[in-house]
Amino acid sequence: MRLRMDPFSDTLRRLREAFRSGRTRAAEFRATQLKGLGRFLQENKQLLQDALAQDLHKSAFESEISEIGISQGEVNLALGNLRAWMKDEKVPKNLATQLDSAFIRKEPFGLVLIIAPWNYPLNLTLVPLVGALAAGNCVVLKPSEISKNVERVLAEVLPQYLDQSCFAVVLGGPEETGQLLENKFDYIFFTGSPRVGKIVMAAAAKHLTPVTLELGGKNPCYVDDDCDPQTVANRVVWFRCFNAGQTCVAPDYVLCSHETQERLLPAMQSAITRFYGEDPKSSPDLGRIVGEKQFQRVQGLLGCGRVAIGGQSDESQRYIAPTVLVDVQETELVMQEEIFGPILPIVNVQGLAEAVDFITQREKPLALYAFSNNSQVIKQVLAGTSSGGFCGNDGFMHMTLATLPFGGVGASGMGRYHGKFSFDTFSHHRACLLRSPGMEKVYAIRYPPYSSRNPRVLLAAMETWSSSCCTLL
Amino acid sequence: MESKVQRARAAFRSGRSRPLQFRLQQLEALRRMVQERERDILAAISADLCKSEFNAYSQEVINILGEVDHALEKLPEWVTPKPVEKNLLTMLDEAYIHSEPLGVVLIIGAWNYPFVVNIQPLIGAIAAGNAVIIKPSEVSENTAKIMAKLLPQYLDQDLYVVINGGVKETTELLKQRFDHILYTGSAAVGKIVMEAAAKHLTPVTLELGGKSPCYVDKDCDLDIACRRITWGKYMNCGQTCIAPDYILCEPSLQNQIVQKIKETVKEFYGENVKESPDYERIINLRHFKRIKNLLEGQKIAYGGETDEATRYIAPTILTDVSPEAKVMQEEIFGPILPIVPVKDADEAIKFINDHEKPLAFYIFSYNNKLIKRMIDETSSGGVTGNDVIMHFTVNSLPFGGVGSSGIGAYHGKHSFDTFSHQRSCLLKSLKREVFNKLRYPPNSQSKVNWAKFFILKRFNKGKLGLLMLTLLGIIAAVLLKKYQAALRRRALLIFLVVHRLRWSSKQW
Repeated sequence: MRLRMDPFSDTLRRLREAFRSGRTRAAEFRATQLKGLGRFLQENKQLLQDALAQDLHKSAFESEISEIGISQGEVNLALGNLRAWMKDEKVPKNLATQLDSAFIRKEPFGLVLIIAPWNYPLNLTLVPLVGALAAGNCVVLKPSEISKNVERVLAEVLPQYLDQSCFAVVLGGPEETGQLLENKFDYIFFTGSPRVGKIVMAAAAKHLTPVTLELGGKNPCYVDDDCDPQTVANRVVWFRCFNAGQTCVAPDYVLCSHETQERLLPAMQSAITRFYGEDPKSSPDLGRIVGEKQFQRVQGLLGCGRVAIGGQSDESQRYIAPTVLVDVQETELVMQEEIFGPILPIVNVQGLAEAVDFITQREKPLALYAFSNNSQVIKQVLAGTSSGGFCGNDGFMHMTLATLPFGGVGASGMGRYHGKFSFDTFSHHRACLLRSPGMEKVYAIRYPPYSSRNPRVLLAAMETWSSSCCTLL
Repeated sequence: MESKVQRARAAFRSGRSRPLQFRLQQLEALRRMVQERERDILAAISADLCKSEFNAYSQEVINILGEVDHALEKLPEWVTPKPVEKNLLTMLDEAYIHSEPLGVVLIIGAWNYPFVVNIQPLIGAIAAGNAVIIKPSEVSENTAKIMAKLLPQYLDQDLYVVINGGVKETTELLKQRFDHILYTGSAAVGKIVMEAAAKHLTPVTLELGGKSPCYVDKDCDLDIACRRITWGKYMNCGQTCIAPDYILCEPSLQNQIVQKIKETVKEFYGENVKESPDYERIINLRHFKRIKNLLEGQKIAYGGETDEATRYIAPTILTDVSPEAKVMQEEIFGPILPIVPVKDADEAIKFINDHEKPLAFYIFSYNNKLIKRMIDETSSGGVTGNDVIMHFTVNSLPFGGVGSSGIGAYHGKHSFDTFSHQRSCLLKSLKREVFNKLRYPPNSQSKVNWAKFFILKRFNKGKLGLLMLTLLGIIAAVLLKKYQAALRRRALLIFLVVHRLRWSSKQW
């Protein structure tokens, strides 16, 4: 019989003991950790930009706005609001508890596991980390092994900026992650595919561990006939091609009428040329597919429908040209799986109702987009569908607002984060009611025996007692 | 069964559960059901738990009426989209959070408060605009049957469905896909529910249990403490998920506690507890035997009488209980109160933290500092200080567990939030495309700097923000468009430096 050694048990035990010691509870400690995270970003900017360039051919601009800048912003937000977020939240009371103290206490869960993906390897690791640290947890980070250069920086450099008794980075592939998941955590935060999300949740179920799953899907993009095609094309193309299409909230496919399609195509070509030049392959602003396996998959999608724009690829660079496909069938692969590449299929629909039908017959996406000059049309798309988030007339701008919760619904995920939502996600909201020993004669109304008293009077009193609307006070 | 779920889904897709008016109507109908059929409901609960109708009303029906009235009053406010604070980039846009129904919700109820644990979540699910399948516990048979009979008489028959059955039927039901599952019951079954939910990526709320500790400080009003503990422990014959499961106190207090509880029991239930109409019975033989076994080898300071024929177990107190005793290994869910002596508050805290996080934590003390410290150094679903149970009754407090006592919470608005998807919405216009030139490639260092400025700055000062945005936007557009000369670029950089120095020194 071969005993399977759990390579993580020592690390996890160490972190658990640190949590039990209470070290992570004080605001000062948490602030120090967050400041450490901030310094990590500031002092290693070049290192991080290089790593992102190596992993995903990310330009300095993309690295700044979607990885480093966003992470820094979340650190700053948490630092500036930490004490306010940590405060007990007082709640309205009913008549019976008027003289008591009733509040919600935000407590750390304990040992938190963050599993991060490769597409925004810094952002999707650090932004949840900010929330987990701010909430006072000890954290185990499992960065993606696919974005190996960023993984190395996170494993070797990041721990130097944090208290290592309360923080650890663990490395490995699917097998090691599976082993890791056999352990008990107090919270698991996972970003990745729905397929793996199910595995994570099933593993969490064995320990009754709460989870947040940031998954994905096919994000529809409805383009109304009443719009300015160039503006729409600019916005859709940019968000589609950002990070070479490897964005969970990127517009995945376009729904529009044939007439609008004909107006969009030249506008899209114009946008692509303006953004990436005549030869997009030589533009420093266009990313690459992260790995060989992913490249093969995306390249395979180029055969679907008919190529209207682009369609080129180069395996040696893992380059896929900004591509627009038309005449696609719903049964083709490009309409069956999340594309995660700079390919935009256009599906024709006759009007809004058909578009909404098309969308609602499918899994709820992480993001949904609608473009129209007519705000009524936008509102109708919103009202007739569901999705994690929604943006009218633009791409994933809603992600840049930390006051909007970011998360999925249905197959695109459960839970949410960003800004204060991160803090709340990584906190247990404990209901606290502090009474005094006094007023016992009044509370005695609730004790048996009941038969000796007039039940109706009693019940009336109890109903008023527990009534939540207090007009008296 | 599958067809009932399909029908509920089709009914949801029709969209009729969404309008506010519909939801209010259904909630009003639910209220009418509870009021008009009170007799039938109380009779069913009483039959299941040997409970007096008075108790059934005060423990279950009152909660439901309070909850439905609260929802009726607040729902218009809850469904209103919530605008959020914006940043410079979204200054001119509409940004808000919109609560939407999830779809078809499954509520699996427990048998101990068989009406409340099904109907209270139902209220939240209806308020949030969902279709609902209720699977009451088959153990509380009569209440299950009455709910199946009454609900279709008052509520939309396709949208809100009661499905009855045992383990086999529940397992089949869990194979179906739901958009949220709220389960009340044991941790063991909670794991099964969550595992089934994982197959469909269905979010869950699990209201489980555990052993809720009750610390009695030597510096407290012992009379009051014992009265309140007696009330909370022996109500529903101890079959309450947030009953004080066991007491932790200094050894010297044990005898006094036993004495005072004894007196209180006499006051509440009379000399012969068995004859009190206010004292319930154990739900079934299996649980009766389970609880009776917990008495084995224990020092019974008070009570201990049992009668299998009526499933009666007397209010019982055990003293000098060892942490290894069987009675300390599982949630008692019966009228047995073990007292585990501890040296002091620190030892009590350690004891609590060495065990699974409980659903509730209770502490009796005059010393507010001690109360705060004990709360700070432990964790639990909820806390009531100087009383028991009561945090359950404040519906502005989320009711739920942590760790093995549960996931998620509900009651009041928390129910509405649990059964809703809070969708982030950002509505922009197709105008002002010129400003977007800053974000499109080809990129440059100055674009990077501008991007940082716009992303990192939070702004909510209305007109000033608008003016600033317009100014900056115009300058940016004009400069980028026309004047690419080095001189202008330098001017832009100086402008940038000045602005960045200003905002980077400000607090958020």
